[in-house]
Amino acid sequence: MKLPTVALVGRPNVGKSTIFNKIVGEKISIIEDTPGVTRDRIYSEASYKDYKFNVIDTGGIDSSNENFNDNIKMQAEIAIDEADVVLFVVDGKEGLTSNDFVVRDMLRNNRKKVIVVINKIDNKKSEENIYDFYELGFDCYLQVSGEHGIGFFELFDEIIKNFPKKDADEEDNRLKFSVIGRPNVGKSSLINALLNEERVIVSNIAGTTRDAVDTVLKYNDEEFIMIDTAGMRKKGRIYENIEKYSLMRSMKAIDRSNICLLVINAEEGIIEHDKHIAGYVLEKGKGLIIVVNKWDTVKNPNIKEYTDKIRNEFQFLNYAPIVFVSALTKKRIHTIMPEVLKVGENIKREIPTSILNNVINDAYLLNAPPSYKGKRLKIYFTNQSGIQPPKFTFHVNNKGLVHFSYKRYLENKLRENFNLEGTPIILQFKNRGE
Amino acid sequence: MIFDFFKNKPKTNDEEVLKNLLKSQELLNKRFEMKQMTNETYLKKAKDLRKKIEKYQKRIEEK
Repeated sequence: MKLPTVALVGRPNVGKSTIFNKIVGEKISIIEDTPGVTRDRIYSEASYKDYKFNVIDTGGIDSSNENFNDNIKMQAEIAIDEADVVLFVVDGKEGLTSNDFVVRDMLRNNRKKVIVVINKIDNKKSEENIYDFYELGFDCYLQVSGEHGIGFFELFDEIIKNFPKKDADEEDNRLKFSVIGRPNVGKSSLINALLNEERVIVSNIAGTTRDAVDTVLKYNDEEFIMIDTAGMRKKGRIYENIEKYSLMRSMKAIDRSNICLLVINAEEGIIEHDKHIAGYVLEKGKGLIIVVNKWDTVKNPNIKEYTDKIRNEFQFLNYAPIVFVSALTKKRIHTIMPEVLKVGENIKREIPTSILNNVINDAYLLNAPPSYKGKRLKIYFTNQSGIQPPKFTFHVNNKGLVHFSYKRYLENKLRENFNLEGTPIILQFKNRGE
Repeated sequence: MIFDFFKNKPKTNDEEVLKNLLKSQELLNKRFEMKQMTNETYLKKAKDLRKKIEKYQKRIEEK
């Protein structure tokens, strides 16, 4: 199910980020301690009552353009293209300014719901300014204080007013995969090459979601849905090549996918941006295949060497299979779908409890955890508590005794014994009786 | 597909602004009645709003 999207727009220093953080709340990232993958949050999921939705802080998408009008134009374009609800944030303390009218003009003449969020209303003086904002000509005005958390229930109620109920959409059981990566790595050509290779049933169905262009393709008598982020970009937009924006688009596609194909340009190698995207895939627990594109352009190609290089750069993703292709010459394109199929099976893999416990017992006997202050970790019982991605729960004597290196050892043992290639796995530890 | 021409017809900017300014005035009056502001503030704000309302009314009439 595609989640509705809420975008925050406004001139600088009106408190968009504070409101963004208040809406999405504190989020604990599981990969924040991995170097190179920390990032500013500009896109996140939020929930209120029975509703879930995505939030975008357009102010965080830095166009590195000094020009105020261009920056605002970019924000407004993104908001109009992406969002179902636009939160137009203004500064209640400072009052209405001419720049607010610039933002207003950009947001007008589209049929998106706009809520004017009058921020920094935390004293009588600021409250006196609110009447002026009605001159903006929108229908909905709410007062909040991002800093003090005032007025957010009313804001949430207004945001979710026209959202569909959580179970309104039917669940689609077909495997969904997306082709993600930074701009100009050859996503579009790869998609086209894939579509030529496999049987396309329906191309460009826009009915299922408003903005995404999904394609249903058939491989080995099985139907797959391909989510095309490249096709979603609108030509001529000033923001289309902005790195953070492309990251955000990738995040949206990742959320809807079961498996992600992360495309890397063989010529350019791996850069930070690739790691950010990969980190998000891991965080969301999605299957991952690394696709090295433009392989034909590499002089003296050596798959072994390049694989080592990727493994070294993506140490936190050593489970992901790597395929080397050339979308242009269509060489090795046929190797992608078998990997998708394989990873599709692995993310749903269910392991019988008895076999799982045998493997864990053997691993424990082979390498018992070191004792800490005279106490040693004991694993009583292990069971699989989830799929997509597979999740394993270890019932132990004291979960405080689990060292991260021992956790990694157990993960490695699980991967050695079961086919979990391409899928992240989650290990959870519980004390007895918890 | 049936196009809803009336729904798509954009309202003029001034009409929308005027409608919202009247809403603002209503809110201001309500808050004053509930003694949420001083006489002085109310008079100042009401005067500002009246000015704006008259400006937009005039612009609409001229069209």
